[in-house]
Amino acid sequence: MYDIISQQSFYLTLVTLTSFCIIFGGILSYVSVRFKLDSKPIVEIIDSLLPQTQCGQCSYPGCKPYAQAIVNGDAINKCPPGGQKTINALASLLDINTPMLDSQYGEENDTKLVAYIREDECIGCTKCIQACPVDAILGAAKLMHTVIENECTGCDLCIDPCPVDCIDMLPVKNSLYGWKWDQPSLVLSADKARNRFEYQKYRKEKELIAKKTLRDSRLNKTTKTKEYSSAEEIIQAAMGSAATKKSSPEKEQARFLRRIARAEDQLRSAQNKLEKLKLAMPGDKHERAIAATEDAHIRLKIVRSSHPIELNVLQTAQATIQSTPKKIRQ
Amino acid sequence: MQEFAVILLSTIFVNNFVLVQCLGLCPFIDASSKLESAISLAGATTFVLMTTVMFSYVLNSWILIPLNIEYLKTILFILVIVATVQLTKIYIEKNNPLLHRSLLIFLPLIATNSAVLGVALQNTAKAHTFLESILYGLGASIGFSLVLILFAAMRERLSVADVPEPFKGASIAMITAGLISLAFMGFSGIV
Repeated sequence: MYDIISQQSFYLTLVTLTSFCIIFGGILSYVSVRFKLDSKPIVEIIDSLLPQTQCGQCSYPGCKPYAQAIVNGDAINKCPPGGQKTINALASLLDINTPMLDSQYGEENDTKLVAYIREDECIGCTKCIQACPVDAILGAAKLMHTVIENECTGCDLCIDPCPVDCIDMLPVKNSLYGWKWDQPSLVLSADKARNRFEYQKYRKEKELIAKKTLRDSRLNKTTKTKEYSSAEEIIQAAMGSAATKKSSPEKEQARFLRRIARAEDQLRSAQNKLEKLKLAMPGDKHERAIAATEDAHIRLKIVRSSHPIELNVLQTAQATIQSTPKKIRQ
Repeated sequence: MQEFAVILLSTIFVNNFVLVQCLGLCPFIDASSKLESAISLAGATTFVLMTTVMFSYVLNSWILIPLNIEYLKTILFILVIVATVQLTKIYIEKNNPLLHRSLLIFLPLIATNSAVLGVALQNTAKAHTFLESILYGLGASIGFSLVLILFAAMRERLSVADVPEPFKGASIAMITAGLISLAFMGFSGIV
């Protein structure tokens, strides 16, 4: 059988091609079943990025139809309630350039609005109920209607049909439902950034000085390392350096004064900052600035209180050093 | 070892598939307007090319030559390429939908990419061994990726450059491609 087929090249070609088509077809169909797509189709992903106000400002009757239209090639900048944020998200999802919001479909509004029916003016015509895309308006014919605030998407579709103009769009109150933190104040964040910047400069200077002193001390060490001939010399050298360190109360005094001056500076700058903040935003509590001022106060106190002890110790040490030779002499 | 280096160098630079042999020009012009898509297309093409090279070698030496039906190689290699591309597409679609979205237009381009078929056919024409075939495919895909990514980066800059009005868009891209091709001509004769 195989010989007959292989002798006739026409059949051979036919059989080879057919068998390869069957093999590849089989592999592909197996793989397509094996890797069956269970994730959402792209329409669903786009729909999940849209704000779901169902307002129809994009000229489509809702968010899902607009998502379908985007998949079919419509522009992505037709959604004013979503604003630039939605456009950016869509652009990054679809890997295309980010357009600006098309202003012919409406302007972006920062504050979220919901509809509110002035109930004593409502005549109960039910027209707004029919217009609402999310069934957020309750009421019956010839009876007063009202809007369920939590369900309202702020689409304004109920305003036009109302024959007595009793519907207002009001900004959402920051209630327990949908509560969020206030945006941080711009002034405070700028101050924070400035402080951090100044601190970075200070830190770099400090590090530079530390590096320099370290390098200097290393250089000195290398020059100073002498060969000590005996243990006595080492002890003497150590005692000598200790004596020079100990016997400089003037230096200690100067350093101490510098520390006090620095602490006072800090306190003053903290107080100044607090004053400025109070002037700039009289309503706020300025807890942080107050805490910083108190901190500076405490630090100054600590520095001051450290004074007598250190100095006393030094003075007594000096006194003993001075007095010892006399005693020996006597 | 030196042979292999020669094969790699000659396929990447001297006989660059895009600029010298003029294969795979369609994705070279079409997919090179954005650097990111160029990089992902280069990756996908490399994958498809290497798989195809291996498959086609096995197909050629185990089935076509023993059965003496080598005249079927073009059509069978196309079959292999299309199947590989389809496999890749299914796999990417499952595992990386965003990449799939950005490659959606380019995947059919890989299937019809003449560089892929060209590598497979030239491998059989030059009677390469398996290792040589793979090196040839590797060199071809590196050369293709190199040129595609270079060109995409250049076009990204061109899109913000102050190009005279009649030269904007495709025409300046053509001129640039011609200049790069001329530059690659400079490699001829090295190997």
